[in-house]
Amino acid sequence: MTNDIKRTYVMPLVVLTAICLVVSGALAFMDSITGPVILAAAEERAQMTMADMIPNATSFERVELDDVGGLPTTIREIYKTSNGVGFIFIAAVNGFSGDITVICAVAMDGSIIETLTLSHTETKGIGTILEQESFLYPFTGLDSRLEGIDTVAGATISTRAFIRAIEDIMEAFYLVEKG
Amino acid sequence: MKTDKKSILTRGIIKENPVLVLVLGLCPALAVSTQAENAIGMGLATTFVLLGSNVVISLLRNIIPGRTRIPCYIVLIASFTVLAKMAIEAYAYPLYQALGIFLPLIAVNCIIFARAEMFANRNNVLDSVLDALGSGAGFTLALLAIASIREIFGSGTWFGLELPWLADNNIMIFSLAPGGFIVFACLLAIVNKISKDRKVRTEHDCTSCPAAVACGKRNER
Repeated sequence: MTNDIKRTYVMPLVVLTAICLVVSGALAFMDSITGPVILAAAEERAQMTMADMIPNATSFERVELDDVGGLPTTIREIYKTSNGVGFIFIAAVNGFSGDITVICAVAMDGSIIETLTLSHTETKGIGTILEQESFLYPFTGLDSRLEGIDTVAGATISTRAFIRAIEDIMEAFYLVEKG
Repeated sequence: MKTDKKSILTRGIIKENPVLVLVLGLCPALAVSTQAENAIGMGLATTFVLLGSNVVISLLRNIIPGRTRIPCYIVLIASFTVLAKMAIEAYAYPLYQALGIFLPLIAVNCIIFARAEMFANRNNVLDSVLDALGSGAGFTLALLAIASIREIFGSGTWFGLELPWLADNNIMIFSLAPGGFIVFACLLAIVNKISKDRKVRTEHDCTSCPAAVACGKRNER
C-alpha cells in the first residue's frame, strides 16, 4: 500500500520537480551568457539607427518615461540629443497583424526630421508599404498637423496605425519639450 | 521492433517525413516557408530542439513515471526551445527576426512531441539521436521544398538572389497564406502519388499507418 502511494503520488512529483529545477538552472546559466550579448546588440542597433537619423547629434541620452507625465501608452522609448538638436521617439502600435514599431526623429521646432518603421509583421506585399520611401518620405518636414498625410488604399489598417503612431509621437514631443 | 540504424535515420526523411507523410507541424511549415533561408533556419532550430528533447527523454525514459510523462516532456521541450531562442537572438539576430513568433512556438510543435512519445521514450539514446536527426532533416527538407517554390514564384528570388524575369513577374499569392496551402497540397499530392504503389491507405488499421513501426500500440489491437 505505501509502495503504491509512493509510486502514484510521490515519484511523479519528485521527478517533475527535479526536472523543473535542473532545467531552470540550465536556462538561468544560458541567460547569463546570452543576456548581455542580446542587450548590447539591441543598444548598438538603436544607437546606429539614431545616429543615421540625426547625423549632427553628438550622442543620445535616454529619457525616463516615468519622468514625463501623461505620455500616450504607445510610446516605448524617448532619447534626446545631448547637444539639443532634437528628440528620437520609438512607439509601438497595433497594426493589421501584430505590433508596428515606429521610430521618429523630431527637431526642436517640432518638425519631423525622419521617420522609419523599425519592425512590423504586416502582410507581405501589402502592409510592407510601411518600409517604402514613397510612404515614409512625405512625413519629413511636417509638424504635428501632418498636412497632406493620408492612409493608403489597400493598406488602410497598416497605414492608419502608422499615422496614429506619428500622432502619438508628436503629442509626446510637446510633453517632453515642455518638461 | 528491431530496426537497423540506417533505416531509423532515413525513415524520418522519406517514408515518415513529418510534414509530407505524417502531416504534422503544419503551422510553422506554412508560416515560415516564404523564404528558403528562413526555412533552413526554422528547420535547424527545430532539429536542435528535437535532438535535445529526444536525447534527454531517452536518457530519462526509465525515470519519468508514465503518469506525469506529458508534463515532463513539455517542460523539457519548452526549455530546449528557450535555449535555442536565446542562442539565435544573441548570435543570429536576422534569423531571429525572420522566424518571429514561430521560434518560441517550436515548444508546441507536434513533431517533437510525436517523436518523444512514439520513439524516444522506448528506445536507447543512439537510436533516438538518429531518429531526431532523420525527422529533423525530413522537416527541414520539406520546408525547403515548399519555401523554394514559394520564394521563386512569389518573390522571384531564391535564397535572396534575384532571378531574371521571375523577379519582375512575381505571383504574389505564393508569398501569402493561400499560396502556402496550395503549394503544400500539391507537394502532398505528389508524395502520395509516388508512395501509392508502395502502400494503399484505405483501411484505418495499423498496417496503413506510417508510424506503426515506432508505435507500441501496434500489437494491442
